[in-house]
Amino acid sequence: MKHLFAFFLSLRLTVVCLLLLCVLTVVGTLYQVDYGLYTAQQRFFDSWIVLFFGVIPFPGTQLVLLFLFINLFANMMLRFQYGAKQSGIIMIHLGLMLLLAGGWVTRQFGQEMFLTLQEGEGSNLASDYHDWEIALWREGQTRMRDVVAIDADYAKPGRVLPFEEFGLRLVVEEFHRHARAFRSTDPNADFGILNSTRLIRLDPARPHWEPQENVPGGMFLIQTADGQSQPLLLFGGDQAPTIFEHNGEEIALSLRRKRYQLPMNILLLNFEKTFHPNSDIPRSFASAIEVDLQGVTRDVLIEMNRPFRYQGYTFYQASYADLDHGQHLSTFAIVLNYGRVIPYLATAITFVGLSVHFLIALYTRRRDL
Amino acid sequence: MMRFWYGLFIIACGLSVPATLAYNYEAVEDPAVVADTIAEMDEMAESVVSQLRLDDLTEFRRLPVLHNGRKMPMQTYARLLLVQLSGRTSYEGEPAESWLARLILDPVSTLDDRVFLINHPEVAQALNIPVDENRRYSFTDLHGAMGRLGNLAQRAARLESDDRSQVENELLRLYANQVLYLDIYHSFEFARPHPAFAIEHDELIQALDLPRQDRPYRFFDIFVRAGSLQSLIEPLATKQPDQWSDLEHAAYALSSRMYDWSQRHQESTFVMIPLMSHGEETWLSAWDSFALGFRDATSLEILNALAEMAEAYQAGQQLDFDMAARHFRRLVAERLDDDRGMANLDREVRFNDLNALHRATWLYGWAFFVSLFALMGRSRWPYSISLLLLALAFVLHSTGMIMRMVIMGRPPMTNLYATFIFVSWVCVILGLFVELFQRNRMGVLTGSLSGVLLLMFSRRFEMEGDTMGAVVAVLDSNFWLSTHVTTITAGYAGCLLAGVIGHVWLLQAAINPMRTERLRSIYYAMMAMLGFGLTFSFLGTMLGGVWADQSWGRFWGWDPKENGALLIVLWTAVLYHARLGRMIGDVAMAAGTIVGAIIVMMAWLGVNLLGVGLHSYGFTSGLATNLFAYTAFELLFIAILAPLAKWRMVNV
Repeated sequence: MKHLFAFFLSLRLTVVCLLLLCVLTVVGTLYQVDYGLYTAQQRFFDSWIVLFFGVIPFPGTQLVLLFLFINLFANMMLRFQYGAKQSGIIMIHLGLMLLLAGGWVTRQFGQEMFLTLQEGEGSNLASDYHDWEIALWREGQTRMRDVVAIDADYAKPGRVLPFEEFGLRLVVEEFHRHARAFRSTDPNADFGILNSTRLIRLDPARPHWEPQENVPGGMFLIQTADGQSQPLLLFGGDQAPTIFEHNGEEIALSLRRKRYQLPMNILLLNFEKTFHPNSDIPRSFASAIEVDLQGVTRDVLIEMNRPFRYQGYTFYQASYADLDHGQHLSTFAIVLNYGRVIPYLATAITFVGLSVHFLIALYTRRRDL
Repeated sequence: MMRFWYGLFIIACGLSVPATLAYNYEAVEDPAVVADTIAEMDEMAESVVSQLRLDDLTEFRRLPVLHNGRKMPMQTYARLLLVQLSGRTSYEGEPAESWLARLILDPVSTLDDRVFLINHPEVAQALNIPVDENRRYSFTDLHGAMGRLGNLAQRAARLESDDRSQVENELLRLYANQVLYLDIYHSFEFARPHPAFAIEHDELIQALDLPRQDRPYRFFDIFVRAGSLQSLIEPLATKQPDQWSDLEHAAYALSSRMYDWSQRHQESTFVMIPLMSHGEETWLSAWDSFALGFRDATSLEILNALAEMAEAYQAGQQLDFDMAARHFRRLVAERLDDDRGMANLDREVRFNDLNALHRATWLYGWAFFVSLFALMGRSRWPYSISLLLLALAFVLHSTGMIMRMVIMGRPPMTNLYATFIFVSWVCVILGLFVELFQRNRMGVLTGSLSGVLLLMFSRRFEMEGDTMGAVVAVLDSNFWLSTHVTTITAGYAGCLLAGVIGHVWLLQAAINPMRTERLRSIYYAMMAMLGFGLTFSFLGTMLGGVWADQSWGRFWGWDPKENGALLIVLWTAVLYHARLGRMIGDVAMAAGTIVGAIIVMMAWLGVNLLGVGLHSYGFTSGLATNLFAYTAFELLFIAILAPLAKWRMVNV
């Protein structure tokens, strides 16, 4: 126990952790050149253990940060001297602990999604960047729709996805995170495979660097309660849901990006972009939206560097696309983050701490500052 | 005979190559079209070479031009153009604006000017032209190889940019520069008498109410009479050509020529005429004004002012030239209704004339040399002089930086170039502070050294284009530019200066470790700078997170630039904690600050070489080699000096 305390209290641990972070930062940055930001982030910065060359274990950023946090906490509790002269040091480390804690809160409870709207279009459903779901609903419902969805992560070959509400289940035959889909060259041929866009085959493709570019696909067997079954192909790139007729009802099946319900309805009124004269250097992008909060509406302008915030949700102007007839699509990045104030506070405390510490050190002409 | 060929190429290129933006390689056209225009070459060959020159271009250089989305004075444009063509800001001692005035108003006089830089001798060989020692060629030198250049450039343009060799890139650059040169060459052709508009038909002269004169008319003379010409040819639509009178034939031929000419130079990049429509600002070249049929009173007055300017230049009449230029400027100002923008043109001319940053670089250099003398001798006057030089350089440096801020209406950092200006400025301030506190010449030495090195390096960026370019949307936030970028670059400055002082400490310890008091004060200054660097790097990094949170909705995203900044903070923290735990001594600490400076350079510049992430803006060719050489030098310095210093401190 004594050794454990000594270990977590030691300044050597601090230095080793900081050096490990240096190494991870450098390697993780260089890794991005070949594998993209997301993969690098997953492999080095969001992980507990990194395997170099696939075999050599190395502590991941999360593990190092945990050790650093414990080291810091232990030192603050047991070793730090508390007095006016040490006020700077205390503030610096308090701020850093808060920063680490804030990072943890964001990581655990944050949610990133997006919403793409055409001018004149409104929605209260945002999509996930990476996660997909298999969703079923009854066609014909107009204003409100009851949807049952299962995470696509659950779709592993051999598994059964139960949709009891509809009296059917899907048996997963194959599923690919990123797939290419093919249809027959003969438009009249019937292969007996259910798909809205007449796709008949899927091939696995190498997953993309940036996972939001991946389009999954799967082959399933629809089994009904009365023992009938039919092959089904669902592809993330399908333009329309696949319709299955069962007991006189039309059931829609779709493999789509995971949806999140927002506490408000967003209507895109207008999107405007301006450029510097005679050039394609963008000057500004702005979306005028109408926000409907349970019947109360208000107009909001979302611009670059000027997001819209509401109840922990923040909407940012992320991208746009030009359509025909001067119409535009505007995409908003939406972030739900309860801990977003923490890093602000942590930064302020640490900065004040650093300033106080170095000013005291300069004033007292301490050699090592 | 020579002129015959000039004419051929000038017309051929004017017709066959749509005016491109510089470096728009995709627009390389089929050079075979070149051959079709022999009929017009005689006419072109008659272009007039003016024997008269105007010396005073004060009015000319403050005229507005739009380039890369930014209004700039003609003087700045002239320098950028000349740098792009020749890699120099003046032509054989002639100021850039004077050369540009010749190119647009008396273009034939520039045909023999050696302004085309060819960096790679293989390019000259490929074009079968004798290799010039100075690597600079005139249009005359190159004209025989135009067809071949077009062919080679076309082939290079088909390759993916990553697959192109240096020679291919150079070919494309040369081709783009030729196109640009010709584009500007023709920009004022409407205002020069031209054989294409020599009207011999008396009746037509009368009908158009043209003055009788010996020399040919100008395009512009006919353009202002377009109404009369139109009324002459309108009835022809209902008549067979064999029923046309001589007058009608002549009028028709003239109107066809007018149309050809107005179409020929469309989409020129040399744009001087603003147009406000539906609240949006668009700029046109004179030719586009003609082609798009802008015949309202103001447009005509603007074009008239340009034509008068050209005429006065050719006639060598200074007063008329200045009056026409002023008139043009007033008309543009009225149309733009942007007093600040117009006043900025004058400010930019003053900024260019003052040349404060270059002068400051020289003064920093002198301050550094004199401070070396001050270190060696016991006399006090070299120290006073070096301090005076440093202060003078700093005043100039500050003036230049503030003028840039006023002209751009932005904080001092909008691009990589500007961060060099700012970081060197902070380094000098920190140096002056060290001097103020310690008075041991260390501040003058390190401050002036950082100033001269960083400003010298910044000149590389001046050779790559406009340093006051328009700011893209995501950076368009003065608040975040002035907080995040200012603090992070101040952090860079602190860590860099700590590194510079680290060098001095190691040298001092290796050469004369007995002077413990001196070593102590240098060490103290080094640690103070490191503390400053850590504080501001941390704040800057975190403010970057705050900006990212405000703009993209995430505080931290492991983007390469963020990681670079984080690395500076982490490394500095390693040094402090290792020192606190007595894991390293003074020598390792000094070596550590030098490594810190390497990390700063990597975070500042190296990240841009990776070509990924949100911050990969200013890529600079040759940067990788420079960074590698710098790192190798520093590591070698540490490898030799650190053990030596340690040994000397123990054994002496």
